[in-house]
Order: sequence, then structure tokens, then C-alpha cells
Amino acid sequence: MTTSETPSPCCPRCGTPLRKDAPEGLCPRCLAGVNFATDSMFTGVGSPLPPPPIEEIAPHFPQLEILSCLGRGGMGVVYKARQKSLDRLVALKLLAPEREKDPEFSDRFAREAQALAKLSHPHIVTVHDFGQAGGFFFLLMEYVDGMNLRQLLQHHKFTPEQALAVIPPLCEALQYAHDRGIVHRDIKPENLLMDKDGRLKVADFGLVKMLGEEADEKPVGTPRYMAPEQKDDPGRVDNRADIYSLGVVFYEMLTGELPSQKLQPPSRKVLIDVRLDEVVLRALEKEPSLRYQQASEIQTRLETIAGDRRAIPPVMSPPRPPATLPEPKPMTDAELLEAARRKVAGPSMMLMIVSVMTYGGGLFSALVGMVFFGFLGNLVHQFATMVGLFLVGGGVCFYTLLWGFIFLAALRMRKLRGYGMGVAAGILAMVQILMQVSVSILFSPSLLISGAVSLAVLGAGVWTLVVLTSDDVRRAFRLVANGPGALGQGAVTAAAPAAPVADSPSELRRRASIPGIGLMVTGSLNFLILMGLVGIIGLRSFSHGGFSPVWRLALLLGAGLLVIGLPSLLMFLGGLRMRQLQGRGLAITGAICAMITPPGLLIGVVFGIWALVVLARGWPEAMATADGSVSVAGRIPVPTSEPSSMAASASVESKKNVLTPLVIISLLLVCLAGVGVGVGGSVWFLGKARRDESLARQAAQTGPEAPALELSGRVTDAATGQPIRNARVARIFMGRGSDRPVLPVWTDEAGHYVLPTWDEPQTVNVTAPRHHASEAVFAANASPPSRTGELNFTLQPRDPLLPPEQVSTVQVPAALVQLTVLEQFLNQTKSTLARFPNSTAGSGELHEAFRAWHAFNAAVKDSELELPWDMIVAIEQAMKLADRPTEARVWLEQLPIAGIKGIVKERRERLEKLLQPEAGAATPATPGQ
Amino acid sequence: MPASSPSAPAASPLFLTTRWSIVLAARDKASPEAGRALGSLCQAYWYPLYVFVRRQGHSAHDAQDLTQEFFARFLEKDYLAAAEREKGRFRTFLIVALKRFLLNEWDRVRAQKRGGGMLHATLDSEVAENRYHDESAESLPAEQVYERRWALTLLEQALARLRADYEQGGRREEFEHLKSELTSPRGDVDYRRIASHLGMTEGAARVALHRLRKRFRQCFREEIAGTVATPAEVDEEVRYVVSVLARD
Repeated sequence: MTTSETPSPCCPRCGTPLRKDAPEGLCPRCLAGVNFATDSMFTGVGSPLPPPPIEEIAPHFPQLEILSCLGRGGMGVVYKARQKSLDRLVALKLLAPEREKDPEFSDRFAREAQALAKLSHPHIVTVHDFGQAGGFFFLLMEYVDGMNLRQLLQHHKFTPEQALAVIPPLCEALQYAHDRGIVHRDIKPENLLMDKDGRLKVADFGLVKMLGEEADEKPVGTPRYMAPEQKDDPGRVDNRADIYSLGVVFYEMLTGELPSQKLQPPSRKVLIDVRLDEVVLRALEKEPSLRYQQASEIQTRLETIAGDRRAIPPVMSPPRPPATLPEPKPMTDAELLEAARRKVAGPSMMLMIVSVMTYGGGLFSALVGMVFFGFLGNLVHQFATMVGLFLVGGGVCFYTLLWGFIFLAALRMRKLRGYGMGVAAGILAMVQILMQVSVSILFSPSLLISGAVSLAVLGAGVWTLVVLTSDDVRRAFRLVANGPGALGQGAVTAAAPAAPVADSPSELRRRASIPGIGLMVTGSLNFLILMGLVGIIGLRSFSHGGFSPVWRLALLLGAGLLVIGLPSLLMFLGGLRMRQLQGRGLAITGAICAMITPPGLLIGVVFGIWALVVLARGWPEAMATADGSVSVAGRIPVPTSEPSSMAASASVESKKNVLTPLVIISLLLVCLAGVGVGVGGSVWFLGKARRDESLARQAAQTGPEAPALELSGRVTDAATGQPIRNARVARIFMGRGSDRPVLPVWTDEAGHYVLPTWDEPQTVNVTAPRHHASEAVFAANASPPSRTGELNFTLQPRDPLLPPEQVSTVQVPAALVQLTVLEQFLNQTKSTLARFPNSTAGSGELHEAFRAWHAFNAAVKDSELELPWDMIVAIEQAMKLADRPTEARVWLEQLPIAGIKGIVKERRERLEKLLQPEAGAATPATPGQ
Repeated sequence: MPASSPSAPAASPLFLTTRWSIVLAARDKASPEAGRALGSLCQAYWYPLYVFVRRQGHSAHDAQDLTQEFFARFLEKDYLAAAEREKGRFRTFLIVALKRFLLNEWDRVRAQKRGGGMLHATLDSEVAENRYHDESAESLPAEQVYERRWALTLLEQALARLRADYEQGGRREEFEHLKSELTSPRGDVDYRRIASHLGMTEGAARVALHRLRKRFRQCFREEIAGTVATPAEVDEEVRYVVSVLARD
């Protein structure tokens, strides 16, 4: 890089310190400021003369007192001035000094300026006067004390609400001008002024047209805000070009960025109402006919969107009114219902989709879990098996209930029924995420449904809650539940948003019914399980030698009753009282107990949340203080003044009569199934555990650190059958494919496993927890490496019930073993890849193979075996990705398996040739060095 | 410095097919064209990677080894085969591949033992270390340093092309005088001074600066075009690089 002649320490423009290696001695930051876009004019060329100083122009405007130069825009120079006669501040805009002698321009200027001066709108900068003075064309305009939108945008990012406040007045102004045949042609943040009171003023209307095609290659307007047709064919431009530019401004305000070529909806970038996407994208349609045809349409649409929740903060005509909600449009019942239906359609559909997906996924993963654990059952600790079983049993039960509930709630929500259920489903969907996360921390993440689904569930939950808590949706639900007229007037006004309309007791009773039953069922179930557990544990402790005193059982029972039994009772009573519309406190307590008391919380969480939602929505006791008409006895008389709602509730009642038993029965069945699996799993597990315990007891008799496995072995020369002196045993490792680390059995200071001498049969102790003898694999590396030897091991499990086992003899040196294992690995990989060409189905097997290879490779790393490094890279890569088999596969598929096999074969032959004569030459008299 | 010599003839037309897209397209068959394209890309953009490696806490010596090794491996096409998922930007692909490579330092030892390490790219590591010491962005995380370095390298490449362009046309002096105006905001340029320096009229100076800017813009866009897969991505990448440069 050539050094610049005079490297200055700081950039003269932005003041950033310049580094020695700044390219060409230029400040990179300022270079980045160069306009790199292809389609815009280049800023350096033909730049206008510096603005004329005040002294120079003042003589031409005797009626004005020129105060300061406000700046220059693309169109000319603007000065702040005081109009002496009226003593008001004005903005003086001087245009195109070079055009003074152009008669055509002069005519056009006059024509356009007259049209502009006729525009009188609170959101358009007023043109007071125009003319020609001292060689300048000038416009005298209203002075706006404030900032332009560009400056505001640079100061801070707009919130969606702020952005939404700007657009409607802009639409008004545009519509007003468009109605008079004036197109702005250069809507951009620089031209949108905001005065100190926050009023929007659109400046420079029609200036572009007035100035015409001024520069030769300069497009008219500002490229980034220009509609496509404005660039291609300026003659075609109509009011819809302004709408496009408005779209760009809107997009920029929402996202802080200009729309890129590949237009992304703003809601992808920021958290906004997705319906705004539609507005922005439609304004930004490339084809004018697809855009909004009128600015007022945009305004109307935005008001509809914002109307539901909070109407657009008004930036209304001056003087600005205090921030109040605008006059709500009265809505009829039908409209309200229609709007609410539209609103809940999205979240409910999403809830339904995620519930089906997650339920399916959950069952699938449970199934996979079962297969997986079953497959490895003899390897993995029994605990894992038991957990797997519980996972399956409890999981199926829980999942069915949870997702069934959410699905049902979504279904009802679409009919604007079951408000409480809907809210509970929303909360559950969110709570469920926590469970998913905790489960995925506990178990292998690969077993779980992908994170995307989880996120979707969370999103669905949040969306549901947001929609359901909006006032009009709540009113719509109430309307459906209570029948027409329940809201007082035929028309609903948005003015009284939160005032709750009293729910009829029958409605309340209907709501409280199912969660109440659920609480009762949960309570009973907990109690049953408690009894079952106590029974099992008690039986077991009795059968176990019979030493357990009776008080131990009693203590167990007492503790269980306290921890599970009491909350269960509370749940039951809470549910009961809730159904009678009594005992709100008790019901709340019961609901909370149901959510936290194991093991029933699996279903209790559903009913607990549901019950809490129902309780939070309104309760007779709370109402009693309000109107005093509720009898204290708890039996709430249905007010006779509501015949229609009574009829409605009667029909609901009769439906409920059919529904309730069905619901109860099915719930009970699901629960019983869960209990069955749980108890069955426990019994099975306890049986397993017993055997474990007997092993442990025996181990305990020989000391706390005593091994569970006994191993003895010796190294003999395969050729002569003689024992080898000073043989170094490099590796012994255990486990099929060994998912356990190499056992540190015999180590010297250097970390090698060393047996001093193995010329005698020896017994060594190996701690091998959780392994069966039959699964041990041994490999040893004898020293000197050229000698072939044999290791004979006897495995004696500590459990006397198990017979001792003679374990296979393994050839040394390890290089040969390694080759064999490698060959097996390659074969397995090849066949797996062949069997599952395009799916991830074989991933599990590959995974296994990698593990085997990895463990082995680690064990014999220092052997003589030389492999091509690219293969090692590929295998290592695959290994590193072993938790992500699909990616590992990518690496593995690159393995030139045939080539490697050739290499392996050739190495093997060479090794064997090398070993043959030496093995023969070795004599019993000189074993080793 | 060899690394920053313009790698493609400055007169080459606007890229329809970018260098990186040639490489991507030729992933499977070893075409010499792709090899050359990749070689020139690596030659030009190795320094940001070196900085990244250094920032990862490797010593200068190790960083040199690692960067060289990485490129050697890279040029031997081992990594390219995995380019499937990183298709798109050369910038992101390089850093992903490098991170992967660094994860496997073990491989390096292996590879050297097995007679890898044949270098195709000649990287001037001493200059690199000197430059690295001049870096002042000490507090930034490695990724950001990389991005920033990348952006600066792009600028350097573009400016080097620009300079080569002018020098080829025998207009070196014009370049030296005008280049500092590249960063001037419009209206701030003292054309009179330039004109008197270069012995031309003010109007001519205006035109000359305009041309320089236009050519610089072109060079910069071309340079970026060389590192993306499709022409459609150029604008976005330009925006990104500019945002990186404007960051601090």
C-alpha cells in the first residue's frame, strides 16, 4: 500500500484518529459515507454555489428582515426571516438562481406557485407569496419552528406508535393536495416538518415539478423514496407516486431502514401489529394500480387497525387537543362479533396447529425415547430405563390432556366461546415452554421437538393472550355467552372499556363446572397415587428383611399425607366448593395446590390454571359487595329479569348434562392410564433396583471403594504360548463401543497403564460400574510392539449370583486391532449410508459407529497406524458433530470409503508381514528387552 | 506488499459472474479457473482472517501457521466441498470455515505430520504482525474486528484498483491530488485549488473529481461483487460493509 504523502493523525472531516494503515491515508469512515448506490446521483458533481450570504440578498427583499440561513435543500436555499408588515416569522426559499433568464421556467414557476398558494391545510406548509427578486425566484412560506423528520429519525428510533402518529396527518395532507390535482413528487423525511407542538407540516409541495428536469441526468425526486414509475417514466407520475414514497417513509419510521430490494415485511424486523405489514407492503407495490389509490384509504385502514385497541394518537389540526382518545365509532353487536371473530381466528388457528404438531411430536419423541432406551437397555443404567418409562407413561397422559385441552380451547375460541378456557390455554402454552426447556436440559436435546415448534407454541400463547385480553374481544365473548342485550345497549361503545358487565350466576356456574371437576379429579388422583406409593414402599420395606418397624411406615404415611394428602384434600374441596360457586379462597388454594403438588401436577397444572382464570374473571362473592342482590346462602337465584339468558343457560345446562359425565369419564380414563403406567413402571423398576441393591450390599461388605468387577489376566506370546515379561499394557477399556472413558487401571507417572510383570496370572481389580461383564472389550499393546501376544482375562462380577466369565482373547499389537475396528466401522458406515440414502433415519447407527470409532481411536492414538489425514479429519469432524448426526453425515459422505479400505488392507498386509518372521524368531528365553 | 496488489486486471468489465460464484460453481470439478479465482480471493482477504486468529488469543507465530495452514487446506478444496450451506457470501463462508478449522487445531498437527502444509498462498506474515500491532481496536470482540478488517480490506482493494487504474493511464498525480476529496461532502470541495495544482480549468477539475468518484464507486462495487454469489446480493453487501465502516 502506498503511504499517503502527509498522513495526518486525525481525519480533517470527522475528527476520528487516522491509523497508519488507513487506505490511501483516507478516513474509512468518511469513505463509507460516499454514496455507493448505483441508481442515485453522485453528490460531488455539479454541486451548487455556496448559499448567498444574507447581506447579498437582503437588499432584494426590503419587506423582510432576513434573520439567518436555515440551510439548503435539493431545491434551493432557505432563510428564516421576519415579515416586517405583519411582524411574523416566515421562511424565504430562493430557487434556482441559474434559471433567471429562462422565460419558460418563469411561466411555469408562476403557474405552479399560484396553485401551491391555494393549498390551505393545517398539515401543509402555507405559501404566503412568491415572485422574482434580484435574480432569484422565491417563495415566501410559513415558518415552521421545529425539526424535520430526518433529524428526528437521526435522534432516536421511532416507536411504532410515534410512526403511526405521523402517517394519518400526512395522508390527510396528501389527500387534500391530490384532490386539487397537486402531486408532491418528493415525499421524504426531509420534507416532513414537525413543529414544536408535534404537528406535522408537509413542505415543498410540487417543487419538483416546478423545477422540472433541471439537471441533465439527475432524476427528479429523491431516488430512494421514488416510486419505480417515477424513475422510469416521470411523465406517468400521478398521486400514487406519493403513496409509494409515503410507504417508504412509513417503512423507514417503523424499521429504521429503507426497504431493500427483497422487501421484508416490517414485522419481521420490529415488533408491530402484522396488519401494518399489509398497509406498508401495499403502499410499496411496484405497480401503481396495486397500491392504495387514495391516501385517505391508508388513513382509514390505519384507523381501523388501531381503532380496536387504542386509536391513533391524534396529531390533529391546531390547536392540538389534549391527548384523549378520539370519539369511538359505535359498533353494532354484529360488527363487534365479526371483528372479534376475525381477531381470534389467527391465534386460535395457530394454537390448533401447534397443539397438533407438539402433541404428535411429543408422542413421537416419547416413542423414540422408548425405543432408544429399550435398545440400549442393557447398557444404560437402569435408572435411565425407568425414567424413560415414566416419561412415556406420564408423558402420554400429560400430553394428551394438555394438548387436547389447548386444542379444544382453540376450537371453542373460534366460536367465541370458552373465554376462560382460551386464556388458560394461552397461559398453558407458555408454561409448556418452560417444561420443554427443563426437559431438554434433563435429557438429550435431540429427543425433543425442535426449538422452532417451541417458539411457535410460545408465540401462539402470547398471541392468544394478547387477543383475548383486548376489550372488544372480551365483550364479544360475553355477548355470545349471555345472548344479545347482555351488554346493556345494542351498540357497544369503546368508551367504557374495562367496566365489567355482571355475569349471570348460571354462566358462572357453567364456567366453574369443568375446572371444578378437574380439581376434584386431580385431588383424588393424587390421593390414590399416594396410597399406592405408600403401599408399595411399605410392602417392599417389609419384604426386605422384615426389620423395618411399623413406625417407619407410619412416618412415611404421615409425611405423605402432609405433603400430598393435605393439598389433595384442598384440591378436592376447592373443586367442590367452586362448583357450588362458593369458597373462592378455598378454590384458589386448591388450584395452586393442584399446580404444585406432584405427581398430580401433570394434570393439575391444566385445571389449576383454568380454575384460576375462571376465578379471576368474576365471582359471586365479589359481586355481592357490588350490588348486594346475591344471597348469602351461596345458592344464587337466577334473576328473573333475564328470560333470554335463562333460556340460553337452560340449553347450555342440558348440553352440559350430557357433556359432564363424558368429560369426567374420559379424564378418569386418561388419569388411570397414566397411573397404571406409572405404577407399573415403579414396580418394574423396584424389581430391578432390588438386584442392584444386592450387588451394592455385597460391594459394601468389601469396603466403600471396592470394585464391582474382578478381572484377572496375563499376557502370553501367541506363537510360543510363553508369558511375556515386562509387557506394557497400553490400554484396557470397557463397554460395548464404550461410551465410558478408558478406565484408569494401571498408570505410571506418564499416564500409561503399566503392569509391572505379567508373567504370572494376575488378579487386578477394576471398578466397572454399570457394566455387565459380557460387554467388556479389551485391547492391549504389548511391548516390544513387534511381538504378538495374548491377553486372557477372567471377569468375575462381584455379584456372586452371576457366573464368572472368560473373556475373548485379543491380538496385539493394537495396530492390527485398530485396523479391524476401522474396517468394521467403515463397513458399518457404508452399509448405513447405503440403507438410508436420503434420510436421517440411519443417524442413530452412525452415531453409534462414531462413538465406537472415537473411543477406540483415543485408546490407540500412539500406535503406529498411519491413516490419511483427510480421513481422520472427516471422522473427527463427524465425531464432533455426533450430537447432530445430520451434519455429521455430510462429513461422512465425503469419506472415500473404497480408497480407505484399500489403504487399510495394504497396511494390514504390511504389518502382518512385518510381524511374521519376528514372532517366529522370538524365543521364550528372551521375551522383551 | 504482495497481498494487496490488485488481483484482477483493473480493466475487467463489470462482473456478471463473480469470482466467488465461479468458485462455488466449480466446487465439484477441479477447474483451473476456479482455483485461480479462489487463489486471488484468498490472497486479497487473508489479513482479516489473520487478525481474527490473533484475536482468538494465538501467538503471532501460531497465528501465522494457522492462517497459512488454513489457506493451504482451503485451496486444496477440502473445505470448499462443505461450502454448501454457507453458499452466499465469501466473507461469512471464510469466517465459518476458519472457526471450524480453529476448533480442530488437532488436525493441524496431524496434517503437518502427514506432509500437508504445502502452501499455495504466500502470505506476508511479518507485515501482517506489524500491521496487527498497529491495530487500535483492542477492545472489540474478534468477530467485529474481523468484520471491520474485512471492510477495510475491501476499501483497500478498491482504492488499490483505483490507483492502479490511474497509474496505468499515467494520471498518477491527478489521483494523488484528488483522492483526499473523495471524502469531501459536496460543496466543500475547493475546485480552484485543485485546478491550479493540476493545471486545468475549474470545470475540468469538477469533471475529474466526478470521474474519480464514479470510478471509485465502481471499483468498490466490483470488489464486493467478487465476494458474493449472485449480483443481486451486491447492494445488500455494500450496505452491510458501509454500516460496518461507519460503526465506530
